[in-house]
Amino acid sequence: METTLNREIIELVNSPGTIKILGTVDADGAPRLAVKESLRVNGQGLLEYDELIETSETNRNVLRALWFGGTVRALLVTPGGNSHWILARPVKTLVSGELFRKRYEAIRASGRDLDLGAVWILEPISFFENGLEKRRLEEEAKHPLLRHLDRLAVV
Amino acid sequence: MTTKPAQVNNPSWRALEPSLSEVGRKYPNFPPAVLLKTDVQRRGVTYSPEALAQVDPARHMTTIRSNYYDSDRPIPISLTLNDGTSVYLEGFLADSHREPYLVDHDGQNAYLVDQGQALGQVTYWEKPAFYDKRTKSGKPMWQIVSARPQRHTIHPKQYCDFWKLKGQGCKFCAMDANYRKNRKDPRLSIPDIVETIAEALKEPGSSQSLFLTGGSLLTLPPNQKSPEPLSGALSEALPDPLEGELELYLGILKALGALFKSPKFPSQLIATAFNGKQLKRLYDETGLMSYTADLEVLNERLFDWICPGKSKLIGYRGWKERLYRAAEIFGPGNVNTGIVGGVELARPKGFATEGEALGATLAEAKELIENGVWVVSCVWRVLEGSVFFGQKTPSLDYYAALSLGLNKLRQEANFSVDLDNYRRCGNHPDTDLARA
Ligand code: SF4
Repeated sequence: METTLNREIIELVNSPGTIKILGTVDADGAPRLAVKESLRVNGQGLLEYDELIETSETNRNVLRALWFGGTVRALLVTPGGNSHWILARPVKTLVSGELFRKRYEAIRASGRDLDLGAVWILEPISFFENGLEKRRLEEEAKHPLLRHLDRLAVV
Repeated sequence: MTTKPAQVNNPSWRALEPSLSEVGRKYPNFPPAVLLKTDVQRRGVTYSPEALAQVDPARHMTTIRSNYYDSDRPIPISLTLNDGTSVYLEGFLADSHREPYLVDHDGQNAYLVDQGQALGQVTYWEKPAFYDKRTKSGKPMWQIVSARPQRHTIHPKQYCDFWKLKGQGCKFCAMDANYRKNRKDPRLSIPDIVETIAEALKEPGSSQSLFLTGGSLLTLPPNQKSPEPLSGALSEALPDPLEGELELYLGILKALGALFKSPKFPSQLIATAFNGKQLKRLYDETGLMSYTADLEVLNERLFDWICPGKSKLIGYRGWKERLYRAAEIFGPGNVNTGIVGGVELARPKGFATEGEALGATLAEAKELIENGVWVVSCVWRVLEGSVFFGQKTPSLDYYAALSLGLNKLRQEANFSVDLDNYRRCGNHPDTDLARA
């Protein structure tokens, strides 16, 4: 695992074709998944996304992670079905000011009648390719005992 | 330029009360950023020369004209922590009982520092573009409307008529002192207000709410030295001494309404407690969506002592009755009452212990919320020019318990804090807790 996002993953995050899902946990530990189309890598190599629903469960969960040192996880799925995840730590939220305004204007310019609750900045801790083929090969290399015999059988 | 802390009375003050980290350990679910904000508001700040060197008046908010504080010195009006929590300071530097936090800058970022330890990264509030413009009448717009992270604040009357009546002003309040010190116009003109808000609205995403508040406006017979009690808590008899204040806000709100396409617009008014008929007019004739009338302290005996003018004019029970009526008119969650958290411990008549003060305040808050009115607190900052100047505010432990208690009451009653949330006013640790 690497802690600085490489070019391939940055391109993946910034690609409009990638499905981006943010995973958080609520105060009781229950998981929550939300699609975050706006997830992107900014000029400093940090993840950034626009929270459009100010009182959403995800917004609360990300804030709680910032307050109490928790983490969130972004799942990225390519159009071909390959997937990656990024583990990240919320480090900042912008709720007014210049960057907030730029994002607000971009959202309003999109033509959809949307508002902006916050811009979140997340620091990547690690990332990992999670595609099935890669994971299958890893699993078989690491756990050679864990496979059904009929797959190896010649009868 | 550097800002100097006030002289601290007792250099051993740290030994007398729990520290930030001790209170944090006692309340592990209290967000550290909100606890830090609370303590900073309690103790004040001073700025290092490095921190002040980073202040850019072209970009940062350094000017303000408000009820309680006027300044155009190159000092940040307020700070924001990384979690979006506002640390509203209005330039407040320090009290005389505890050392202030230091705002320092390492060339990249600004930090709140205590005893050499950086405790939270902060940014200086940014200035909206309208601050550099003038109204047609020639007034700088920053003197007409001030900005918080997501709110535009209008103080149409920066003088309170209770101070015209000897000994009737609220004892924690410095509006009179600020007014006298700055020799400003006591009233803003409606055209100036409308023109400034219209300009501010051109900045996309800069405000979620319009907020109005000012000193009480009492129409009293000439030479009257004391407010006459109204004939009953819910008196609607005319002439009513608050009719002038009502007309002031009706005029402004109606004029502002012309700037919006919807009949109602996110807005809050903090005013003297109006009677039912007056509240109905406010609701029916304007776009106002929420209403606040501050009780300041949740105890009748202390209200009578601390807020003598309000007590004589309307009375503690009358004030509450009017709030309950407001809640019926404006709807659940849209009416609250502010308290100056900690003033219930003011000497000599305040509660003897923090435990007693907390129990009494939360019990009263429960009654208010059961009647549709939620309580919002701010940290008592002992303001120069107030009767209480020089008093000592409670411990951080007290403020943490008060915020938790108020937040819990609201959660149990399922009340939203939207009207006074963390980025509208930013001055209430207890509503900061409602974010998560
Ligand atoms: S009513 Fe009391 S707190 Fe409000 S402005 Fe007048 S004196 Fe100050």
